[in-house]
Amino acid sequence: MRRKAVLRYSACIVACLVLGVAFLDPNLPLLKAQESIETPASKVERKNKAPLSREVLQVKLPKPVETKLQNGLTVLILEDHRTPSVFAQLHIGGAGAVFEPPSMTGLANATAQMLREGTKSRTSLQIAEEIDRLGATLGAAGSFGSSQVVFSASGLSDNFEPWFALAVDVLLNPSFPREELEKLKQRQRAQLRQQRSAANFLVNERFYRAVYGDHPAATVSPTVESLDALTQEALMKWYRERYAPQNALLAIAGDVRAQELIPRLEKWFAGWQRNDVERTWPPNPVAATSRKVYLVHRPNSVQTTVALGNIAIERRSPDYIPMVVMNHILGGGVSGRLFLNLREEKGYSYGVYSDFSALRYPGPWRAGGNMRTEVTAGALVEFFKEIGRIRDQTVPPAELEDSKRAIAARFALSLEQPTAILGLAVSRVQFRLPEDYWDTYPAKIMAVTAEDVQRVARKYLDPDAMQLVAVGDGLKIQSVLEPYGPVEVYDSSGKLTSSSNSSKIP
Amino acid sequence: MQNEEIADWELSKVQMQLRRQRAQQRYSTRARANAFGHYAVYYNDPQLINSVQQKYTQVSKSDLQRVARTYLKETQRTVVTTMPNPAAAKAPPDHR
Repeated sequence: MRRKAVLRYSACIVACLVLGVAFLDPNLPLLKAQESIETPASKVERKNKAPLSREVLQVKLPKPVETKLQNGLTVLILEDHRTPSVFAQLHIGGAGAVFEPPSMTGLANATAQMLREGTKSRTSLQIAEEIDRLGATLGAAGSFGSSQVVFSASGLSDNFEPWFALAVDVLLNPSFPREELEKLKQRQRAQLRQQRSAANFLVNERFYRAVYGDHPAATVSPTVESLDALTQEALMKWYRERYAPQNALLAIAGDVRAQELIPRLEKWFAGWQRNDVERTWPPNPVAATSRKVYLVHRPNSVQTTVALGNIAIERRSPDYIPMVVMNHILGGGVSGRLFLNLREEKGYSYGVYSDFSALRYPGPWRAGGNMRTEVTAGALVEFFKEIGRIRDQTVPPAELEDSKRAIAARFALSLEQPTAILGLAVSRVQFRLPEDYWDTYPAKIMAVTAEDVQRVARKYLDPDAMQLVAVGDGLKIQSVLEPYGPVEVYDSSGKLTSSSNSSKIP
Repeated sequence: MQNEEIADWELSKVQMQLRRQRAQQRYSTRARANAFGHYAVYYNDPQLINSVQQKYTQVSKSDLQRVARTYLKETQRTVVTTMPNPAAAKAPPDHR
């Protein structure tokens, strides 16, 4: 029966493809094309089984050349001559949003974005035109919660010199023109209004505030007031104090020769002087100890956007690898338990996943998705049921094995781009991981046991301490949320409107 | 586009950008397989993966003008105007 269905399906694909071709271009030589793709005469044996290898993936990743320039700038270069492209990424540590003064949220990102809006010798328009003409890309941004800003450029290797020199000019000689800054702020003010209509923004705003508390990573957006505070002087000061070569890492991948490039880099970056900036890290966020519920009332919503979780681990934690496996089993994809239960079995949602963030400081594990309003209650029951199940019962051997193999196989597929391999090297350097960390990553994943999975689930997924955020129609879902703990109600402008169990939405 | 010839730098800019994009997109096995599939299905010529770059460099300014005149015609235009309904202020539909 099943085999028949498969055959019918593939027959339909062939038919559709042929129809598609005919529809798009009636002049194409259809008959000839059909002849040339005729099925081979040999008999096809269908086993209805995926091929399986019991071997653990063995990789030996190409190692980038690693050096330090005289000004303290760390450089990683990964040669890859398969195509005539070059990618460059400069990670400037200490210039990211976690170090911003609280009254100036958005300063790190604005400074990064303004780099390409003017230099001492080029206007914003000239920079844009030159980049276009060279067929290159250039941009910089800093995200909230990050300790660094990332400056990226890419282009062809045969005109590498001109586009890279332009990137260096943008990095080292920015002028932060006032009129361009006004335009940037204008765009961001429009964004401030627009983002409040998106449930995803509202759920992030409330969730990060709930889990991070006073830590700067609680911030997900500038405010009207903080944008007003962003002056040319403030950006210049931030740039002068924070863009320090000894805190930066330049990663280059592609069609370059490292030994020829390094002396050129010394020359290009000679004008970038080290300074004595001190990075004072804010105290680490700590996990909440009691469950709290946050409702963002969005009248007439047809679905409830749910996020629940708590602060878990930092990147260097020995629990990182077991967390990868545990999270994959619970909610890491379309074979995760949350997806199989809430979507495939119950039909509550289009997609339900979990994820975790682990940086220099501990970040949250988080599960969530969009549920139809009328099944919000059922969905919450299932979320907590799955969290309870992975804590209370050891994961069956086949499920554990499948999950670990999926992680290792995905890792293998992720290594095709030179930028991906370089990215792994960058994270190894930035998080001070061992030299062979990524070469042994598949073996480390495969070594995770069912006991490890259960241990990290119990340690980091405490249902009684979870922060639960729901964005949706409060009139329909407030009573559904109340059994889970004290409910704070917010409106979509971000204002707290009530904070006790008894008060109803006006 | 229809009435004035575009400048040389505009054409070379676009050709340069397309060349960079194509070079950057050829790393993964899947991307190369997709390209083969595309050229095989639509043009019956998987070898195009090696010559397509050449074809792009052969495009001339008058080619652009010709296709703009042939295809960017008012009679081939579709205009869609979405009108928000201010009275109801309905929530956006479930994107399922």
